[in-house]
Amino acid sequence: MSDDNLSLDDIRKMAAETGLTRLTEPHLQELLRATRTARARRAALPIGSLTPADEPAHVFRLEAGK
Amino acid sequence: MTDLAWLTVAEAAELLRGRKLSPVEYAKALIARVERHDGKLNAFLRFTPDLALEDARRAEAEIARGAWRGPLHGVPYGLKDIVDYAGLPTTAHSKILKDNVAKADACVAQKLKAAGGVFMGKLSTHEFATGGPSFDLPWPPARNPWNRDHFCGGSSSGAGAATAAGFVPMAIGTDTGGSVRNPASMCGIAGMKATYGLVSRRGVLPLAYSLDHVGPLTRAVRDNALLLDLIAGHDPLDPGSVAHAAGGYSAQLDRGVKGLRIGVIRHFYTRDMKADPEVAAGIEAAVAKLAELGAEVREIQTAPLGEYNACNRTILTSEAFALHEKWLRERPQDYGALARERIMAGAFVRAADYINATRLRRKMADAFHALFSGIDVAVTASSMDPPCRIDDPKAIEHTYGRQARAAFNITGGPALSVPVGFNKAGLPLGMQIVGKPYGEAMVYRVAHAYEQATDWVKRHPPLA
Repeated sequence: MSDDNLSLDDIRKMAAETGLTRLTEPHLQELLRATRTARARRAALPIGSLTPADEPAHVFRLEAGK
Repeated sequence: MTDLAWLTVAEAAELLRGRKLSPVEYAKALIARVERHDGKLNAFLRFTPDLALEDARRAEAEIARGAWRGPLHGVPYGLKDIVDYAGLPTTAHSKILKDNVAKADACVAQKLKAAGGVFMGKLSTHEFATGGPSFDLPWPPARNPWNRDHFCGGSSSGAGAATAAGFVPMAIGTDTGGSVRNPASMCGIAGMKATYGLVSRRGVLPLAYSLDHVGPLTRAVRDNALLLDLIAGHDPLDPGSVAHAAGGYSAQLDRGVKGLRIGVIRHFYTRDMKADPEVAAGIEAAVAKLAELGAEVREIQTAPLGEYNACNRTILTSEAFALHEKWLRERPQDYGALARERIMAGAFVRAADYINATRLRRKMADAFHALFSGIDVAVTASSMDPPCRIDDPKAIEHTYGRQARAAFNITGGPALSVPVGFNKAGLPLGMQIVGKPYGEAMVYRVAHAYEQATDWVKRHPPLA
């Protein structure tokens, strides 16, 4: 779903599916703006440069003796 | 005697230890100043003069019998109101937590108590360290002491405002995307985000677990190093805490910058985001000053600022939403609009996007730290703009993301914001000095040399 196509009705449905059922209309407008912003950030991430060997920054690690 | 409001921690320590200044007299002077001026600045969310006087009387008795605890003994401080102080509410400046009384002290509060500090109160923040400046919360937002009509930065707003206003000489803030360094820049003081894991986050309300840092705000660089000397160190009860040698930062300040290699990340504020001309001129003048002091200055390149910021916000909002989802389902109306919108940005971030952002984080951090084989520190912008009006939501929205701080929450190494002067309107300007992981001593050394060569630290806001 592109940012331009994301509508208030889409957001209302997505919010309900996530359990955000108490959001008012102004809250849903906020959620719509926030989601568009988040998607623009996702588009700005240069993930094409990642290789399978690039691990997440915080990996599970156990200290010796535990 | 010097106006007690403008004593540095180091100056106060000397006077207090030598019994030329009474901790009670010192605390009373600052209490009177807060009572006189904070009604216009709102730096304190919960002012606690009785606790301050109790601490001050104890410090006075201890120092009188020769039991001096160290340079912070008898020195007033404040805590951002996401940091627990046993017996007081930790509200995060939010209706959601207005009755959330802390059962125990945060690790930093424990250390400040053990050092004999004088607790003055809890300081304003943006709601949950993200939503502000807001006028729809139970408490008003802090304002800039240099001009109360202007934004004082955030989210450690009260810490910046109180320190710059001479209410306290030191304060504790937190920094997830720049929240110690933003108020430091906007208020003309020093604010340090040390290496991730160097300062315990135990007892501090999280915003985003993998990006949160606790950090000191002070007027003078030496004071900042003194405070970090105290609060840095391994805490086995904080899963992010590192077992790395810590402290000694204030002992290495006076070695100057002659021969040091300083890399300027100019593309952050000239190409990736075009800084306000007065901000850019302030940074360039500071760089020229460092060269004049004997540093070797060269330009360096790293990833575009937009990539760092996108990575920071993707991780931050995902982790913050995980923390807030229950409250957002049950009590969305109890959030201010700014916090609600900023946190809800994490509601529909896909797991794959979050994980890819953390994979990019490691890659970007490794590449950035490799630059330090050829430099000792880097310098770059902090905010791209001077403080805007606090009552102008469009200006707040425009300037909020125009910063180069979140990059160093991603890389994780130390980043200190220091003042580099004032614009024509008399509002503070700042820049960042950035080090390699655990390179705090070098960052402070450069900052101190620059501070000593300028007079910014001697200027104070004229509170009416």
